[in-house]
Amino acid sequence: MGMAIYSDRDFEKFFREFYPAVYAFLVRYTGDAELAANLTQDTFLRVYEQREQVESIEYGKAFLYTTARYLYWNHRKHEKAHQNYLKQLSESEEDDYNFLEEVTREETIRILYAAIDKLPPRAQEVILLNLEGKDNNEVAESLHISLNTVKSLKKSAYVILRKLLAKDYYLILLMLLGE
Amino acid sequence: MEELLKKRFDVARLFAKALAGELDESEAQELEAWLRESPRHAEEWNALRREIVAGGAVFDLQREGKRMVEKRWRKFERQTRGRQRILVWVRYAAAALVPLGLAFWFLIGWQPEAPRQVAVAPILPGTYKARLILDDGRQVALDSATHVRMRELPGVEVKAENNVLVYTNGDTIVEKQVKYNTLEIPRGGEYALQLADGTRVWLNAGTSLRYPVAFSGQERRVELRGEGYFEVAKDSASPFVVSVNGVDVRVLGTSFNVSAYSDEVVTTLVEGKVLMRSQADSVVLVPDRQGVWDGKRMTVKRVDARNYALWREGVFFFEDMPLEDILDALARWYDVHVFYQNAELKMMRFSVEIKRYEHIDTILRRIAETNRVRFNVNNRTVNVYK
Repeated sequence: MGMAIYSDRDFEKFFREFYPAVYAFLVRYTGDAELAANLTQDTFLRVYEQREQVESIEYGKAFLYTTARYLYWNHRKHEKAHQNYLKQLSESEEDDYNFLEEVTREETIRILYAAIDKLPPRAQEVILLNLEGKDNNEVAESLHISLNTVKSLKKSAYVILRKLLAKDYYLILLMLLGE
Repeated sequence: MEELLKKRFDVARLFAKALAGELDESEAQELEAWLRESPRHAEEWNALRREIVAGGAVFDLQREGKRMVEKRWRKFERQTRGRQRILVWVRYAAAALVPLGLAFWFLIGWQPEAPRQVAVAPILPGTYKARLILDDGRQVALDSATHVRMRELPGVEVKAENNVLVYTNGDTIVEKQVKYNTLEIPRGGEYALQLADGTRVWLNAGTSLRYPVAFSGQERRVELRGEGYFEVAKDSASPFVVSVNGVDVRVLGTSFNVSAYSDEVVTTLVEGKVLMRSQADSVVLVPDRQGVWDGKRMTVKRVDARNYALWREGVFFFEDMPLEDILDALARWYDVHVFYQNAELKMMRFSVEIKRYEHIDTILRRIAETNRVRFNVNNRTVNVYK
């Protein structure tokens, strides 16, 4: 299923879905929230300019993160124009790995956060405590609810999470909203 | 890079599912396999898991990003729509009052609307360069101008000269001490190496090789990532093993090329005999055969092996290869990025033989002459169109 970004409405959805992750990615790269916000904006502008080329969400995502890193590099190059160019080049291999690591990190958090965010509030709390490694008894204790309630909340949360974490979930969402 | 990224998107989803306790059996196996691929993978996963277990702080940055979205989207709309309006304005102004139009243009501050035009380094072919990482972590940058001499172990001299790094075992008896060095070749680089046993190795762009300063023990083992051509010195008592992506390429004395930029391992044998072995499968190669490990099984192809070692003589040789593989090699050599208009383009097959010290345009033009595909080079990105 090819899912390009055809209209500005599609782009808006794309923007809203990925803005937080790209922003977080750039904050971690730059350590500067304001700079990160500006670079994130530039990143989306660049991708918007070439949106006809974005033939799938996967591709759009790859395009986003690569552009974000590229703009960050450019920024650094301007900052330290006098710095040894060769030295930067020899760092690029390690940098490639760090880049992949950072993208994986933000994507994991994005997917998880988006899914948990859509759960009912009570189920959300249960799942978050669960993520922190608490077992059912501990969860029941800290939320002041019965063990059975924890179990049934978890059960229904898992059914929802399974759907939200499926690979094509975002595509389906885009399609439904896009009609 | 694009393929690596896509793999990482899959991994991220597996991570998320694993954290939520939603992995099914085949996904669990997939994740397991990826974690086993490299200790760094396992490290990465453990670090992330620790962060998640430590509490909700891991979500903080994205939560902050989410709070900003509304405002930022409105700004984005102004920036993209604003640009169209301003263009119209400028056109009217130009017809009537050019100077006023321009003044307006500067006053409103064009800068945020147009992505900044930046001076981009010209795209050049690779050169001789590498980074040597010594056993204690110190690093030495090597290029064609570097002449270095040092001692990593008593009796072993290390010398970088004329784009080759040479380890020489002197007369002194080497004490039983194992030290490792790593030679890393960046994108846009190449370098050659002679190991302490006399084995010669040519390393291609985007490659790293870890090896003992002096060999001792039952086998001579080195670890490769990327692509290297090996001329292994004969030593029937101690096999030479290239360990790459979970595959052992085991030889006694021979010449062969190993390429492993993705999860695949491709070994092409020029002379001698090699054994390619993973946990799951193994094959023995004779000259002019190519063994391919795709992560699951080994297959063997008949090829003209010399063609696969031409890169070290400064020639790109691709025979009936998917465009993606061809452009991946160019991307590493010229240090550029590649974007495809659509995924089908990647599967189109081409044959090209050309000098690799040429300008990248020459090579792209050669491929475009077939009229099946077009290129547009913008900054350091090669865009591929139908």
